[in-house]
Amino acid sequence: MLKNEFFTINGKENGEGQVIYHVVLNPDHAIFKGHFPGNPISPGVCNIGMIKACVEEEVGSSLFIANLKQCKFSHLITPNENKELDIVLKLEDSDNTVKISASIVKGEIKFMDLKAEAQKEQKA
Amino acid sequence: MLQGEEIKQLIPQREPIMMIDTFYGATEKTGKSALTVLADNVFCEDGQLREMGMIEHIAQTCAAYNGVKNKQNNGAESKPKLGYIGEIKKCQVVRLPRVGEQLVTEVVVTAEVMNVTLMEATTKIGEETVASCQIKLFEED
Repeated sequence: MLKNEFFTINGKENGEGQVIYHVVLNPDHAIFKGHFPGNPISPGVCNIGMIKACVEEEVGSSLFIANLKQCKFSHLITPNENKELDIVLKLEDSDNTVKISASIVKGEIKFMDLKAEAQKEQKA
Repeated sequence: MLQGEEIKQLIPQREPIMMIDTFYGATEKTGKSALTVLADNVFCEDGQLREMGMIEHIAQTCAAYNGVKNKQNNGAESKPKLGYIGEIKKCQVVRLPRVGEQLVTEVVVTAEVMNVTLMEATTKIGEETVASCQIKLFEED
């Protein structure tokens, strides 16, 4: 839905106990026309969606976020000034569920933190 | 009750990310809205509205409540202020709505300080609760 349209994944780095996805926003996406007209800001839910898409990529399954425990937005993401972002994931991946601890950062700026539990979706 | 284009009087979001199509009204501490899921919704996938769409629907219900208060305080002609989600807590999604289903969301204000509003939201389809959460909204001056 968002992947390859709203943003693209431009590589990843494996670190100790974490993985970092490098993503690039598409400032021309229609969502930025409505959020907000003449003042493009990435909607908080799209930031959540980008994290989710990176976790899906990492675990190789589509996910249903049944429990979004906490999600804190500390800095607005504007697609022109903050086009390139790092999504840092710490995951506990088991058979059917994934525990997610994630943040979106770039350099010194932290944009958001998220803690959630997601279920792997069974797709035909 | 406000519907369709009229919703734009209350919230700053515009197509394709308008996630309420009906606003039933606000009381001192509550607001109530609805969204019928259409196939071309930007947050729909395989005939279902994804979590992001449900949360945005809740956030815009809060924004519409703020929009009503703004008009009460600053006049009927005042434009909706820009607002952002500051925090989401304890958000449970029971199931994803399908195309054609109508979500009805009620928000209750639990705290208001300056330009920050804390709310609790419950989203139902008919009698079935499909999502609930606590949400903190920031509004620009």
